[in-house]
Amino acid sequence: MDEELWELSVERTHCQGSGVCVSLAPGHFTLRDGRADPVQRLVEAEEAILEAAETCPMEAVFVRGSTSGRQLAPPE
Amino acid sequence: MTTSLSPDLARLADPAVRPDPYGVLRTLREASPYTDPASGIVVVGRRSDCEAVLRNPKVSSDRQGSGITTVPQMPNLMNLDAPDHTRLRRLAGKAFKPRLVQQWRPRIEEIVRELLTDMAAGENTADLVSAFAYPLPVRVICDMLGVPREDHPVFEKWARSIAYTVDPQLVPGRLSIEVVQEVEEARAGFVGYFGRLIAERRHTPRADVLSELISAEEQGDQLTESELIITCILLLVAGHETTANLILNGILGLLRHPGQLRLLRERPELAEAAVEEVLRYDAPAQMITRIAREPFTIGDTPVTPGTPLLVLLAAANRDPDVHRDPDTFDISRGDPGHLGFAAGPHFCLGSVLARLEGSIALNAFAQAFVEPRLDAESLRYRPHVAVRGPDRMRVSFEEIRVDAVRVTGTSERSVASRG
Ligand code: HEM
Ligand code: SF4
Repeated sequence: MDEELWELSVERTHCQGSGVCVSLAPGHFTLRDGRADPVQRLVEAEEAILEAAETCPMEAVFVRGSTSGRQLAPPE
Repeated sequence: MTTSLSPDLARLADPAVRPDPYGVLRTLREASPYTDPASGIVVVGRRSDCEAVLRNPKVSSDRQGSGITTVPQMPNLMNLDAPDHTRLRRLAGKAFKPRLVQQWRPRIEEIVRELLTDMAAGENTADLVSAFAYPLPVRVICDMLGVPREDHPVFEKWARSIAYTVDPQLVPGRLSIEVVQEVEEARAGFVGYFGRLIAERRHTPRADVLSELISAEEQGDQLTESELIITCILLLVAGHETTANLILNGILGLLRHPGQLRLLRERPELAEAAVEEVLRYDAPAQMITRIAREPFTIGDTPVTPGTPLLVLLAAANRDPDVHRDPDTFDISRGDPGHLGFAAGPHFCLGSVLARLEGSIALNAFAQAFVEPRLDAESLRYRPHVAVRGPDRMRVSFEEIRVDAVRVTGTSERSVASRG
């Protein structure tokens, strides 16, 4: 995943608006109408993003490699 | 140290207010945010302010020595801040993923049917606190952790004693030496018990949450022995009274609003929505506390480091800026979410389990109880301020139709966990 960008998405039907992701990766997630959204869809790799995705109580945050499409979080 | 409270805030702890704290909460919300002049506690009651505080990295959950509680706290998820909190939460969260929790549905349905069967065998009346709502979450979490059935009673006793540690001390001196001693005893009991159980599971893993916690790993990092023990205790304590009260406050809401009970009976698919409405309308976790770590402001209210904050979740849940007719119990309202599980990094780790247990239990009540009637005289509330719910609640009925409760199938896990 050296050069590869990460693609962020939130499954809005699963999201409960807990804000865990916003707290853990404030630059990358924001709450809109009580649901989380990625601030930007494509971002550079950053540990805090994986933390957010793995801590989301609903497993609603997805991180994928932008070229490989490989799911980096949550673990499958 | 909190030495005294101004009258408005003190009323929250008044036993006369227990049956209906919502008038007091409304007054506090409307006056908030403000600093209680006598105690220095910052009162936060509006929905937007509560959310802002809970998401603010300048607040801490480390309440030790703040005067908000006098019971010694353990370094568990609830008391830790980032980055220690993040690490622990990531590891513990692995055992509580929605997919894993959903697998326990058949087992929870089985336990509900057992409890209904026992009640149906007695007279046409039952105390739903002791016969239904309290045993259910303990049995569920004990099964999930792999605690054998014969040890459940002692677990329930310990869990009750230790529940005091989550109540903020609003009235100084209310926690007697005996209570602190009881808490210490329960804690020692848990530590010894879980120490042994963990050793067993390390040796022979099973399909349970404890084995899941033991094996949870993140880039070579794992929970230590004492973190495992502390997390197990927290799971029991955090999910016991809260879930029991979700069920009881829900049943009470349904009994007091017969139209809503009828609606749920006719449309069982509303069970999940009913749980959300109970979490909003009569929240089991009424308030939580934080300590300011760095200076910030809430509206015009300045907050200085070291200041305790009282975040009134139950007041925010009835904020008219967010909820239409906030004082109406309506299981079909489909409102934007509530703060019943808090928000931000400490958002309830057990929310998926609590929702599952709550929806199964409320639906079972609606479907199985024929002509249920609340014995209003019997209703007593527990003294706790933060975790609100009945201590006794007798309901009479013509019949309990256990078969009206759906079972989704037999669970493999129930076999594994009974061992
Ligand atoms: C209706 C039932 C429940 C309610 C209303 C509830 C409410 C809450 C609230 C408000 C918090 C935040 C505390 C704070 O920020 O200071 C919390 C945290 C927590 N809850 Fe729940 N809870 C419920 C059930 C459960 C269950 C069933 C479990 C587990 C078996 C559980 C485990 C936890 C844990 C471990 C935390 C700490 C999370 C952290 O600090 O990161 N809860 N809960
Ligand atoms: S952590 Fe998950 S549930 Fe919470 S706001 Fe983010 S995406 Fe939604």
